[in-house]
This record gives sequence, structure tokens and C-alpha cells, in this order.
Amino acid sequence: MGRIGLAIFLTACLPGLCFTGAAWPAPVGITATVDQTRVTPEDSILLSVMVSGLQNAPPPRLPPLPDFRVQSAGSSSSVQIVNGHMNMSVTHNYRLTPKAAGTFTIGPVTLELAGTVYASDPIRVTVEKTSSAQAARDVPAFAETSVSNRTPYVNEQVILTFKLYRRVNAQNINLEISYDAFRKAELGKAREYSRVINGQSYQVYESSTALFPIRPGPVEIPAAVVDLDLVYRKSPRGPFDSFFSDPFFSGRSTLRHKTLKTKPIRMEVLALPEEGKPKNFANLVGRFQLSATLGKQSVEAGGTTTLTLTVSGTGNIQDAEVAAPAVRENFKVYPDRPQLQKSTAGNKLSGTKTFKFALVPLQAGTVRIPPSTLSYFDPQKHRYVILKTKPLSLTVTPAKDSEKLQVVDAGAAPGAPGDIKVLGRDILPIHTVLRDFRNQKLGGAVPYLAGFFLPVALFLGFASYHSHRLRLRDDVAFSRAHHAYKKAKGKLDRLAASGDSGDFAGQLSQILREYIGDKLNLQGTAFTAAEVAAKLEEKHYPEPQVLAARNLLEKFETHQYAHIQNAPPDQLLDESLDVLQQLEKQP
Amino acid sequence: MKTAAKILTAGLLLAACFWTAPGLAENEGVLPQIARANDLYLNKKYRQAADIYEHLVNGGFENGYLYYNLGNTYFRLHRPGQAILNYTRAKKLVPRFEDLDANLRYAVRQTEDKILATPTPFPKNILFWLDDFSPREYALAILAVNGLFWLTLMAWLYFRTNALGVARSVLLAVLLVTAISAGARFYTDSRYPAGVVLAKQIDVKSAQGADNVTLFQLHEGAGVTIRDEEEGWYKIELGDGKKGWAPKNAVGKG
Repeated sequence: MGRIGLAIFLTACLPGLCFTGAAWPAPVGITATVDQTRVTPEDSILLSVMVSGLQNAPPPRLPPLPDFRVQSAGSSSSVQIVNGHMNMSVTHNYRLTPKAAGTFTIGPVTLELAGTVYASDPIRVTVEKTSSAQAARDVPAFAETSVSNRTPYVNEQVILTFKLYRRVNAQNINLEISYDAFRKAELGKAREYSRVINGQSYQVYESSTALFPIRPGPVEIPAAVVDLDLVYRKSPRGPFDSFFSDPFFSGRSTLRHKTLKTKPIRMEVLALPEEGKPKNFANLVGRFQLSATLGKQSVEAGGTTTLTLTVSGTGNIQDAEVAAPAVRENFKVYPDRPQLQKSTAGNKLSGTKTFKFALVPLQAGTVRIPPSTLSYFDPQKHRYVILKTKPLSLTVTPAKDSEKLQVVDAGAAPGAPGDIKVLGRDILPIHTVLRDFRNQKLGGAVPYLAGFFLPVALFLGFASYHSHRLRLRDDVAFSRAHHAYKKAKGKLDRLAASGDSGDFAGQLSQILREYIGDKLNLQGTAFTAAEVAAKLEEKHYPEPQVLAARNLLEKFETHQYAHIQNAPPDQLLDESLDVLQQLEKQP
Repeated sequence: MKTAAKILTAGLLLAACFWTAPGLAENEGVLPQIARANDLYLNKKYRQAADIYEHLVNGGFENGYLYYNLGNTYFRLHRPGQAILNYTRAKKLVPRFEDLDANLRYAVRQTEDKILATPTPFPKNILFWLDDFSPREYALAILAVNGLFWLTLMAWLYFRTNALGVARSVLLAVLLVTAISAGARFYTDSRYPAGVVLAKQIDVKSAQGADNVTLFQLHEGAGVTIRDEEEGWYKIELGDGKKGWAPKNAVGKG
């Protein structure tokens, strides 16, 4: 450990040791650069401010940027020693997202150091409006929001649906929506599906939120802002490329940052009517049911039964309140904490709120428990509704003496166990379960290493196979080349089996051309023997194979057009198969 | 899919070839001897029982319950050093055996120094589960989680569902935690072995050799951590940081 510690210490100190001696720092300076000067409102500009000559420079002061949304994008530092000169710099990155189109100037970024102010040059950037035609035709991603109702009542449930459409993969998605005028509740998990718009296939991410307006009057849900990185993949070049370019392995792909905005939504929230408002109305809006059950129908005086009142339905169920029944004369009432269970039904927030009251009857007899009530506003019927449970009755029997004592002396603690006198101490007995006596020696490392690496090897084999399958599916040229020999061989076999001697050479010629067409991913089969030879040479086929293919095709042409039979069909068939096999050997 | 299934089946068969649990055949000759030793112990013939248990241990048979029984036998023979040493060895193999914990604590309380060695260079409040599993359990856990992780990765590569993505990440995290724990456990066992004083009383010296200054004395059953080994001497360390050299023949390695 000591040697390792020393090594770590030396490694940590090495940069410091390098900076001693002849190296001296360069003068302090500040420069600001942007990655692009012409953008659309959906793009963002990466502003990099480099402070040189200082390693622990304080963060620079940005100029006022009212036309941009500014986010920090991290910082990095570097130290270089060239010919005894030490160059130290810290680069602070900021992501600027334009709020509107126009031409803007990013003023000088300043840094104050020991009374001296250092400033960068201003930068002029142009934010161009995205033309609607371009937006409609070819956007890799866009977002939209919609609401289920633009004129809800106060506390009425409104479903806000956010949809993100994208044609490429996206990472680091950050969604910002402000709901200042609402209370909100999430509606389960977001869902993803595909949709075709204007002939383009989009992957759609959809999430819903239940909103409850807080006050009446006009309100606006501001534009949702989605920050995301679009992933543009490079096409795979090797058999393993599609596997290793998988996101899991952070493969070869480029990220492009985008900021998408939806349109703001204006709503008119209606006040709840005063007419017909019940006295116990507690701002419950939606559609609800109320039920009451009693745990025991018969109980002894001093015993306990539970009254359960259940409110269920769709709306702001969390606001439901039910008062304890007016039974104080006959019972001691102990309310329990209400239990709320939220659920989603038909993309709306619904649920059940359960109120439990422990009732302890004070005297024997038949006691009536009066109905409980709950009032709510039904926005569909535009009126208030009062729910009432059925009255319940409970038979209370006289308490037995012992139990009566328990009721009266409920606070009495049970007697503490008497002290047990320890007379002796000893160890616990031996273990005699024979099946537990198996050899627990770890053994050699080979089986463990094999067991560890076997799944890795299995995975690599499977990944290679999977990658090959995907390539066969997606890469037409590869698929054609892969199946070319099998297809041609099948046709040759069928031709041989059919015994059809009419235009035998023509059919063989067609099979060979199709094979070469598949192998080289050429369209059609109307190419001459010379063209075939040229194409094969282009693909670096060895000269003897090119010559063999050309000669055979010319022989077929002689048979076909000059009607000169200079070889029997079997020989032509064998020659064809031979040429196919030679060509197939070429990787 | 058929090829994938073939690859998977071939892999599992290969794994099965490599992996053979300690079979009954291995235990066939051992179990009657253990049963006999247990009978001898129950009939209070502790000397003969200890001989059989020791014979099995010296023959390469390693089992936590065997060490526990041997510890009990030595306790009955009034040899607390050997008893605690065997309990310590048993603790490594059956770490969650409650009877063992009780007997070990009881045996340590009977000693003069009442020191129990619990050596580990790792913070117990972070890796609090480190001593709760045996090295074999760690090894098997790594194999199981590793196999499951790669299988899940294969399934995720093929089906690309969110659930499999989450399972893949969780299994990777579990695999890392298991590997770190196993590494810490193996490192502790190999670099910080526990030791127990077997002699009635030993002088712990400032260096190897009886002529050196005696730093402190320890008595039979005291637990120490062995930090080094040289020329017939162990460099030992106590829980409170005291260090010194003790003769090797007077200290048993756990």
C-alpha cells in the first residue's frame, strides 16, 4: 500500500514538479468565440470564453444577453509548456438559445483582475426565422402541447398532453413547462409510438399531466421548452460497426443540440357558480361516489368497530374531505389518517380516498349511525351534487366485567416479566446436520474464470450474429451478395433437373449475370461480357477469375446467337458451377 | 433466432461442463467420519472427536460447521486458543451462523485478554455487508450476476425494450458492487489474516528474536491481525494499533 501511495503521490505531484524551474506563465488575456454565427431559434450557440495566463481564474462576467436563454455548459482547463513558456488557460462554455429572430451582438465578456479589466471582442450573430415551408417539410424533431378543455372550471381536471416528434434518436432530453396557475399531478408513464406525418416516419414521445386551475379568469400555459441532443449516426463500415456504434457503447455518432418550443396555450377558467353551492362544499370538482361500511354489526360496550367511508371517482380526489359522523353522544370517535390511492382511468386522474373512524360504543343498545354526506361540483352537468350514505345501525351488547375493566384501565401496563436468575453459562452444541458438511474449498481459479468469461464470449458471438442479421436486413447490397451463390446454385440445379435443352446457354448466361449482378449490387442483367469483366476488375477480382467469367459468358453468347454448339450442356453446367465457385471465393 | 438459441444452448452446456458442484462422491468417505466424531463428542469423548475432525481438516476438507464443531471440542478440552482459532476459521465459511457467533463471543469472554480480531482495512460503515458472506458465496454471486448481466444484454440487444434497458443497468450496478465487495473480501483475507494466540502466554517483541525488548504480553485466545511473516516470527497488530513480533509457533493463522 505504501508503494502505491507513493506512486499516487508522485503522479499527483508530477505536474507541479514540471511547472517549477525555467517555466514562466504567459500574459493574461480573454477571448470569446462562438461555434456558429447564423442560427435558427431552434438552434443554440456555444459561446466559449477562454481566459489564458491564469490557471485558477475567476469566472468571467458575461454581458447582458436579454435576447438569449443562457445555460452553463461546463468549463475546462489546460496547461502546456512549450520551450520553457507555460501556457495556462481556462475555457468557460455557455449555451445561448435565442428567444427571437434578428441580428444580435454579444457584447464583450469581461474579467476583472487586481483592478485591471480584460475584455473580449464583441460577436455579431444572426438568428433567422425558420420558414414554415421548411418546418413542415423537413425537421428532424418538433414538439407540441394540447389541452383537453380550454374553458374549464376552477379545480376541474384538464389534461395537458405534450408530444415530442423525432426522426432520429435523442439524448439528454430536458423538458421545461411552467404551470404557475395550476396544481398538477402526473398521469402515469409516458408512452412512445410511431406516426407518419407528410410521408415521414416520426417516433412520438407522449406524456400527459393533469392540471387543476387555481383561480378563475384568463390564464396561459407558456410555451414548453425542450432541450435535447439529436443523435446522428454514421453508417457502419465493417461487420462489427453497427454493433459497436450502439448507444450502449457510445459509438460513432454526432450530437446536435436543439431547443424546441411549443406554442403557448390560452385558456379561460370559469368560476364555480354561487347558486346552489352546498354548505359543506370543499372545492371538489369532478364525478365521485361515496360509500359507508361498518366493520362489525354487533359489538360489546367498550369494544371497537370501524366505520369506513370511501370516496372514489375522477377529479381532484386529493381534496375530498368527509367529516366524522355526529355520534359523540354514543361513541368515542378516533379518526384514522385518510388513505389516498391515485390511479389513471381513461387518461384522467382518478382514485379512492378512504376515511376510517374507530368507534368505541359507550353503552349497550341499538345505536343508529347517521348518514355521511359529500358534495362536489359536476362540470359536465354544470351543477352541484350532494352524495349521502345510507344510515347504519350497530347493536351494542353489555360488556363483561373483565372486559369492562380493560376498557376502564386501558392505560395499565402489562406486568413486567420477573428477573430470571442465570444459574450457569455454556457454549451452544455442535452442528449435526450432515447435509451441511460439504467441502467449501474454493478450488482452482480455472472453473471460476471460465464461468466468468463464458457469458462474455457468448455475448460477443451473439452480438456478432445479431449485427450480421441486421446488416442482412438493412444493407441491400450485402444481402444480395450474401445470397447470390445460393440463389444461383439453386437455379443451376433446377435447370439441370428440368433437362430443358432449349436455349440452355441463354438460361445459363442469365443465371451467371444475375449472380454477378447480385454480387456487385448491379441493377438488371443487360450487360456484355466485357462490361462484366470491367466491373469485376473494378472490384479487384483476380485476373484468372475475371477471364474465366468473361470467356464463359462469350461462349454462352456464341451458343445463343451463332447457334454453334461447341460443348455439351453438362459441360457448360460444370463450367458455370466452376466459375461461380471461383468468384465466390473472392471475399 | 434459431442460431441464437443454438449459441445459447451450446454456451449453457459448456458452462455445465465446467461447473460441477461438490458432489456426494466427494463427501462419501467424509460424512461417516463426521457422524462418528459427532457421536464421540456427544458421548464426551472429546479427545477422539478432535482427532477425527483434525484428520479431516488436515486432509484438505474445508467446512465451516466442521471448524465450528472442532472449536467446540477444543473448548471442552479447555484449550480456548485452539477453540477461538477454529471458530475464526469457521466464521469465514459460515458467516451468518448464529450459534457460532454466540460461542465465539463466549469463548473470547473466558480469555484473559478478551480481544477478538476483526481485521479489515475497509470502512465498515460503507461495506457493512463485507463479513456477512463467505468468499465462495461472493464468487458464486459474481458468476450468477455476471451471467445474468450478459444474458440481459443479449436480450436487450435483440428486443430493445425499456424494461431490459433498466434491468441491464441495474445488473451492471449490482455486478460492480458484488465485484468490489468480493475484491475487498479476498484482499482482506489474503493481506490481513486473523491470528489467535495458542500459547498460555507470549511476549510480543520489538523485532524478530527472543533477545529484543518485550513490548507487551498476550495470553491464550487473544485475537490479533497478522501483518507480516519473517524467520519464524509473525508481525502482529492489535485493534488499538499496538504492533510487535510474536513467535510463529505460538500464534495460529485463521
